[in-house]
Amino acid sequence: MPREFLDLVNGFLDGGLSTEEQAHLDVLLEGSPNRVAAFRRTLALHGQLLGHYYDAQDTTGIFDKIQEAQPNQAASSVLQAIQIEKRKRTSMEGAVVARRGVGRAGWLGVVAASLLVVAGVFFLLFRSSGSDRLPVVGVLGSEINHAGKVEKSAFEVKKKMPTIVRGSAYLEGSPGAKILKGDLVRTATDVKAMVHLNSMNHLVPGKTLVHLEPNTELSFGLSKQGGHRLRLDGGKVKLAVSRQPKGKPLAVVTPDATATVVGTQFQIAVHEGQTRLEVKEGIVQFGQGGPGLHKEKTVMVKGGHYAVARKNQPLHPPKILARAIPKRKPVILSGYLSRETLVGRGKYPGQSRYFLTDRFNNKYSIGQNREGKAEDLLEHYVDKLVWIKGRGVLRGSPGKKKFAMRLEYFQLEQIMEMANASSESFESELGEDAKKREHQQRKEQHSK
Amino acid sequence: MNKDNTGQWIQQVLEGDVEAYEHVVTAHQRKVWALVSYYFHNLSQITEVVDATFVKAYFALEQFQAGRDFEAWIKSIARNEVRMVLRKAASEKTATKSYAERIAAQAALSEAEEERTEERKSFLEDCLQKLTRDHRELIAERYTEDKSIGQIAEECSRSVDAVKKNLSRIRGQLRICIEKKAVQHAS
Repeated sequence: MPREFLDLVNGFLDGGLSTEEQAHLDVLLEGSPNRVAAFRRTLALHGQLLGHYYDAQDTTGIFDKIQEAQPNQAASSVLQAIQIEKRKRTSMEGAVVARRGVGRAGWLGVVAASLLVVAGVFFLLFRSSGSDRLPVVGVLGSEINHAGKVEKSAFEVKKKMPTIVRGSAYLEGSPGAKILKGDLVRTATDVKAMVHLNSMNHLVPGKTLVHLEPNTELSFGLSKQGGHRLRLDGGKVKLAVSRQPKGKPLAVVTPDATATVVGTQFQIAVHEGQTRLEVKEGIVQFGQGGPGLHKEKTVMVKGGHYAVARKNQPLHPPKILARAIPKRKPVILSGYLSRETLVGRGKYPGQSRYFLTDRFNNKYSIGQNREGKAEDLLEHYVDKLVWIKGRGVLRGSPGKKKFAMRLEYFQLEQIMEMANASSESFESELGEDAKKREHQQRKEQHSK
Repeated sequence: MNKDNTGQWIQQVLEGDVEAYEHVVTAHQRKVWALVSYYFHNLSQITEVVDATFVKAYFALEQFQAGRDFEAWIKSIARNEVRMVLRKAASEKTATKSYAERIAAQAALSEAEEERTEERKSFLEDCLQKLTRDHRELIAERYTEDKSIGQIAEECSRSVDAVKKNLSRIRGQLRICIEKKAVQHAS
């Protein structure tokens, strides 16, 4: 099969075909059974891959549709009931011709029966929708498994309970206690608490956990979109947030800021007129002020970074968390290296980057700018926040090279010191490597 | 999640405990998803059909006979839903559809295609293991996260063209590998 045809088929699957390309694909397919067969095989593979990489889907859509459909179902029951009554009425009207005196009573009976049926269905509807009750948004202090069973209590060690403030009532929290929309959970000086937030259909406990540190006040609510909305008035909470449904992000609101999250691990604290957000994993949108954040006033805080919001002060870009930089002994890594030239990207146009995956599946990128300065050899790893220094000798054919590299891990400060101190030696080493490579290439060309 | 509890959960739902239906969905969603994904090549379409299947099953739960195989029952609902969606699409927009889309719809309607893909499921698993780690990661990213090519390119600091070509190459490798295994299996 020509490359062009296969690229078009793949474009069709990945949704990147222009109208002209789509038309071209149609032309190639029409009149060629072989191409149609290849196309169908690729489609089948695509379906298999979608099935293979299935990730447990959010069930919100299903429950939303059930809720949408339920009133219709009930309404159709009402219609059915009325139709039955109509049929009865028709038969009764027939009887009226014969016995006029009974007719009025029959009509009254029909109306009364219909009203009873409608009232009954509405009673059922209101009872099932729970409009007279506040929705349960979480469960207090329990480890709950997927089957909904309480496995162990978070209070077993501490034996101290947080307080649930519900309206004007003060309730003593207990493992498994339900948290309703609008509840405030308060922890005393020597009390910690944990809340399992319910999944987004607000029916069963989900995988999102909220840990309340001592002296914390956290209110639980729901946004207009149906996402969890927590208000932190004081203290500190740590969150491990499972993936949230599209359009229903979890938000933590403090007096100074709002953190909006799709799925991650982070902690947020309010202290002396400032809010500090530390993100362990994932990305959190962090912005000053309350709801209705302006885009220009928000920053995206990645894993291993923190940001601080202060009243009447501009929001600064996120900074690296010191503890995110691991202290590790030097290790030797080896793997396959692919090289790409990124033109006009990042700080240094024309830089080269080398990508390496180690046996723990960590990815590293090692770069070098045109001038070959040592600072640029120390690249920031995108996800894991590991600063690395790498050297290696490239072997094999260009593009994809078998590679062995020695990588060493340092603290950030050490790296900067080393970078300044050893730029010259790096340059010379690089120069040697380049010479060796050139020599190798010449050798290969010569042998060809 | 243990599927054996399905009968018990269904009983709970029928007794008015709607929450128990989430367990039923979670336990059987994967199989239904795998079935529907044979027919559609778009994640949002698959999600829509899977959701519709479970909604229909919920309202027909009283018709499910206790002790019978729930998976087979829900799969038959899913197949009907797929056929309905495909037929509706075919009757509505045949004139405006491209030839490639029409072939895709025909392939989806063919039962034989599904059987073939079912049979090849284990081949795919073997062939994925033969890919390089980079390629495995790339294909997983494409199919797990429903990310656009642009997003993937940005995340792994590659050009869109490079990602497209890589995906095309990986699919080609997988297709050839699966074909070989199918031939070996048949012989």
